[in-house]
Amino acid sequence: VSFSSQGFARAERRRVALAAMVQCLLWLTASFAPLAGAASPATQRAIWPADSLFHVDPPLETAAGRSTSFAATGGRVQIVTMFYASCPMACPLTIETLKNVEAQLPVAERAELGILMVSVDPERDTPAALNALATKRRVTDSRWTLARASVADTRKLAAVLGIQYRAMGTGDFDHSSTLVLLDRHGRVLARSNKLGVPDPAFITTVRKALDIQPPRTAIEKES
Amino acid sequence: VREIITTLLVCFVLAGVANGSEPIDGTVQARIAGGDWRSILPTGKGKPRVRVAPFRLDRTPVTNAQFLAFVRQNPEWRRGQPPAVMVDAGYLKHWQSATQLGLTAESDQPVTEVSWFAARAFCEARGARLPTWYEWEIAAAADESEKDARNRPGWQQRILGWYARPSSHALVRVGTEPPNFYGVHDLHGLVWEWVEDFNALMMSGDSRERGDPDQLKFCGSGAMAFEDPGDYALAMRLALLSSLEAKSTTKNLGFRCASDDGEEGP
Repeated sequence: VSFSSQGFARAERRRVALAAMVQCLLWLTASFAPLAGAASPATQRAIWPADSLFHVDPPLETAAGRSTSFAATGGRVQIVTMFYASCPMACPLTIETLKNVEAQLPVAERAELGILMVSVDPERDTPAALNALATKRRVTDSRWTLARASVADTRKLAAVLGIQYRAMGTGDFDHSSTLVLLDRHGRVLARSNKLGVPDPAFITTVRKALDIQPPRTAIEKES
Repeated sequence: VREIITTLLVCFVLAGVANGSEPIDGTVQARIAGGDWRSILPTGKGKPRVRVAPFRLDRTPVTNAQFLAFVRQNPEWRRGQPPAVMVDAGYLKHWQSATQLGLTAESDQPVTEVSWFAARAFCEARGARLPTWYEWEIAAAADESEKDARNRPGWQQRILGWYARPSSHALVRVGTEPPNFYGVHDLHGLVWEWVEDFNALMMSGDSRERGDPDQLKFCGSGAMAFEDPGDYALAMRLALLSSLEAKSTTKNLGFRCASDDGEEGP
């Protein structure tokens, strides 16, 4: 065995070791990347009170095709409900009920109230379908958000909202048409199952929630 | 060469720890064919059966030891950590501490006092999911020798016999009862189990609500009627599941995981 071939073997070994270490570094980076990603909800988590629904924060896609998330809709008082676009009866009625709620608020308060409607039928309720419904029902104002989540996240969102739904296998869904009133931190202030003319007690709670809002600057500082 | 191997080994270990996704040992799943299923739940008009895809189901409920391994790897699921919207005050309260079972919770007993969110997180960490109601119902319709034992004489009585037992008795370890047709244990007789769509069952449990304006609470026709009102054993399970919130925990409520078939089992 000549000196040079020994040297070659050593160099080869060093090269392989180096390659292994580079590979290792790549694996580690890939492995820790999800952790780094997970760190942001964890940091955000600390912001919300323990009883905030925003601890469950699925990504949402809006009728406008915009990506957002459940917690990102916070920072304002809002009514959240679930529906599906092809629903024949109760869902148009839900929209009418929400409009009736708005109609009972002074203009200044109305502007402060968000309305979030999340589909229980994300496979069919594409942004285009949601947008068509918003246009048809005349709820295109930016106060209204029609959105969908992934199939698994839809179940999770319904679970945290206390809303039940089930596909009937015919394209129709059974679902509870509950309106959930959230404060700007995502805490439940009231729930209402009354459709049509809104429950007066619910309206009172909505107005109270909008009234106790601190000045706008304070909200912006926190978010 | 030894250096390289050592480097690689250290690397694998680090990568494994970083991923936090090492499979939890001791979990074996049974394959279940699915098919057209006649459920106790009402289905759409003209659709008496639902199509269920082939799936895999854990042969036994998740144990205290398995759940302990999970919370050790996932500190955010240790007792005292999850936010109040995800677990109620009873979460893992029978364990000695956040990371120790102690004398009151044995390794081989099914884990209980877990919320839907916690159960789901456990299955997700294993690359699995919770079974749907239909999947659970299919697996639980089998006795030791038949796929669908629901109409066999004595079947109802056997299940109801368990429901009548006082719940103050300590839970036996998982896998004690003989396996059913699919090789799955303990679907009846040990603990209640979470399903993925527990909030899809829509049982009012009160027929007085029929014809009430409040029935609009549910957008749909079949929400409150059972397909087979004679199946009291299943009806009781549905009543229990639909009374729960996703953060609820009880001392007799556990879970097991499922996977789509065709995937590599976890």
